[in-house]
Amino acid sequence: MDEARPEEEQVNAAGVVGDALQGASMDSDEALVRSARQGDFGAFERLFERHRVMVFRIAYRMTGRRDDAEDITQDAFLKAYQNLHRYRDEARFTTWLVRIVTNLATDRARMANRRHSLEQQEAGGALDWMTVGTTREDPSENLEREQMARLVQAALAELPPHHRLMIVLRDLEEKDYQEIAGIVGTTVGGVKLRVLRARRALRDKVNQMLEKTP
Amino acid sequence: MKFGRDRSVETGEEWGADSVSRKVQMGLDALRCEPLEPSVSIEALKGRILQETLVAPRRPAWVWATPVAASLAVAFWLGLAVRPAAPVAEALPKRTASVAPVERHGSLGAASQPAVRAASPPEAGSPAAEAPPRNVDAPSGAVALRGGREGGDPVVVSRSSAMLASGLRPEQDAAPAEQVQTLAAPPEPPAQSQDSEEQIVLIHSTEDTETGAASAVELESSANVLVGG
Repeated sequence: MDEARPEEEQVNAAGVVGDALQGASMDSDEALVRSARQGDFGAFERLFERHRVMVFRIAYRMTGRRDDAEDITQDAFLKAYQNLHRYRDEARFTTWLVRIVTNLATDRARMANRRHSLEQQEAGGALDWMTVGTTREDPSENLEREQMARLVQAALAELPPHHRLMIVLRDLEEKDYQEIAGIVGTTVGGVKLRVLRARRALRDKVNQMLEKTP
Repeated sequence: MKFGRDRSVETGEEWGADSVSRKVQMGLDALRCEPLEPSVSIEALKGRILQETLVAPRRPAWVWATPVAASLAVAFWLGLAVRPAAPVAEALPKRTASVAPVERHGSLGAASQPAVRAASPPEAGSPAAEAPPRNVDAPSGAVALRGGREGGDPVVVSRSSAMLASGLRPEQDAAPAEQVQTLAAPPEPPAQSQDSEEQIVLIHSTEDTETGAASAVELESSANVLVGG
């Protein structure tokens, strides 16, 4: 019995540590996914609340329209819920989720590429940005930032969807190359090349717009 | 100026010092700081999930296509199986109407009422046996009927007196045009000309050449017959 006590204490100690680790990992995305797979919809609700803004931002930058972005956000989480059994733990949940979003947003952007109706949304977004956005000391600098934000947004809307996706993921969402490679399904070197080309395309597009502007 | 905050160090990519590059970076910074709050709620998503899961999913095409294809196959097979080996018309006993050759008559009654009889004698009590013989073209007067080959289709050639008089041929005439000899002139009364008795209409059927001269129908009508005298 006495010999067994240290082993029991060791087991208990290990159990405490394991519980602590388990408690910490219980909050991870992967643990929530496992719970959601077993029918715990509350776990999926937590995933939704955690990532909905990020999903919406990507969708909005890709489509340029708020209503489209909200539709894509809902569709993306619906698809994620319906395909939770297909998610593998090798990749991060956000990578898997962003892949769903980018696929939906790219399809929507391709369909809406000819519509060219971003002006109204941009005007509304500019108004929101002016009221809620960051404040600077210099009003003229604020005005220039606002103008450039609208210009870059318009240039983004005219880029091909694959270039737009690179700018959104790398320069707006600040994803690292490894994660982007997992999202688009290519190598890190390939992602770097794509980002470089996308940035050049964006700069050329902005330059063209600036030349047209009196 | 580097592009972004610390990414340019990682990638080694630099934006140029030109004004366009600086403006692009300024715009990207402004967009990055732009607050975006979606109005999508978990309640809306929950309702959408319930809607998607409660509504029965669309059945794949093979679910309805398979029974339809099976039904069509069975119907086709039954159609082949039920169909008789021989056509119905060939399976029934043949009854070929034939008319006895019109002999030379001197009266209109015999020539105008040829007897139509079946090639195979009708059984006793059958409707065909009890029915009176058909009168073919009785009111027209001159009739030429003949039976074709035994077992073959009957060839009924009828000519009315008006046709004979005008030289017209009925459309039903089975004989070639060159084998029909008609009078160019209308028959004359016998009292006026004796040659009119030799006005004979010979109708040779195409089958006659095959079966022989015995099956030929010869209509001999005199002017007296044609006029009913």
